[in-house]
Amino acid sequence: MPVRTWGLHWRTRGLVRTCALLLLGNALAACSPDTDRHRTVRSATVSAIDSLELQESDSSYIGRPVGLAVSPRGDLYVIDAFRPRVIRYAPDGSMLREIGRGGQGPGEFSGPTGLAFLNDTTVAVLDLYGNTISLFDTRTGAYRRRRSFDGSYWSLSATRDSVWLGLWNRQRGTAVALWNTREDSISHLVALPPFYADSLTFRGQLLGHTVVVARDTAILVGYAAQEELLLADARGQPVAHLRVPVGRRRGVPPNIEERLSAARSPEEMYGLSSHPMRLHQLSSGRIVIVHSDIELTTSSAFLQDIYLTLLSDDLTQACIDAPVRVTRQAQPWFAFAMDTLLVLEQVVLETDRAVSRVRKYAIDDSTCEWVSVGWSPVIPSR
Amino acid sequence: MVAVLLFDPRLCLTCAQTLGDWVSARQSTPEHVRIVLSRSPTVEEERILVRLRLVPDGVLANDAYGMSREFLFRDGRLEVQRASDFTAGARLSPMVRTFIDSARIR
Repeated sequence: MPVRTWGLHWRTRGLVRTCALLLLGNALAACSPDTDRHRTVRSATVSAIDSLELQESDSSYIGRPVGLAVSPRGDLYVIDAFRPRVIRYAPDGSMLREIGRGGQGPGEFSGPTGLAFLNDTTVAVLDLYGNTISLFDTRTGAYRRRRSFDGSYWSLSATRDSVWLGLWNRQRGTAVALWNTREDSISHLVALPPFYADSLTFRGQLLGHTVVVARDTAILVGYAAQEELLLADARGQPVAHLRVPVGRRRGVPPNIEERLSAARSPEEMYGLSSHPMRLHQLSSGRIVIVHSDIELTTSSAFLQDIYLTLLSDDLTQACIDAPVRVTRQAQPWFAFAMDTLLVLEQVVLETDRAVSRVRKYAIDDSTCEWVSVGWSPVIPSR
Repeated sequence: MVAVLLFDPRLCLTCAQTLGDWVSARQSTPEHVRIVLSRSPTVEEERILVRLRLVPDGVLANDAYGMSREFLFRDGRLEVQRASDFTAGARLSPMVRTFIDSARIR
């Protein structure tokens, strides 16, 4: 059955055949994993185009931001984990309302860590420690309902009525969950990769972050400390592993599992490799991967160097590792408003005043030197 | 009555969940809540404190290594003390929650 994903029409078996032919024809780059690490190629240009200071006061401020999202109407939503709640800001940065509060009851959060919009009027908030996803009305801030899931929560994205979760369910051995909010049904998709299932380090969840971007017919999944992305069909059946060449970012050393196991501290573990932090589809159909090279400080601050990679809409070409300039004072948080990247940072000014600042970045791909993505098709078992 | 949090800044300032509850409680009942650090913060920790808008009420002169406890004082006398839970996802202890709720009522 033909499947359309990100502009590419393909049949799973046809893709395997095509790759085999290309391999025979010495066109290795098109299908085999790219073994050249740290290539020097021209990246996209990511330029700051605007900066916005979010309104805060002594009594109502963002203590510890852990998430940022932009609503379809352009409002900014920030998760504050210090006093658990979501704060909604107008596009000019003025504070509009607070949504939810700390606690464990309906409409309350223990540890909110992610949010996404189903539509103009509904926002989904992931509560990592409460093991729930809650839905709120964006017009009133009113709590609507919530749903619990078994597993370890990592990230969420939303498409219309669907909430996609990077969620490990070890009993089922799956890495992604889909909550159809209209039918209130849950599907557990995409087999948990062996390196997560087998490794104590990953099972310890120190590096478990999983990101998902989904459309009606395909899912793209990225895992912390793993170079390859997994492309799966809408039922979660793996189609191919995609290896995106490494430019400026650290990348992932080939023996990452061993090195992680030998690491003596979280600081060392986080510093070993790059981590995909977000996947997003641009209006052109291209995919953006936001990679972070994390430096975990002794005060448990996650400082990061950020790199942005574009994937062509057929996922065969990449424009890799455009640096995104951030202050590196505190952990940055990302969101996309259509094709614009937004980065939220808390900055301490020279006057010892903290401000929460959102920078907007335009992504210009005219400077790109496109390189091949390594495809390793997954041959379906009969 | 006064509730005092003695907090070691070595214990994950950036992720200690209950710290936010203490700051909220101090905002709503400043005469009943104190936050004291068990040692002077480092430069990096000071930056984090600025971001959290957390100005401590005091700092112990001698480093009480790893010490994080909650105390309740009545008329200057210690009534209760217990270890504080700063693990991720932890909520304010029932002892402190009850005290703060009753302090609000008063």
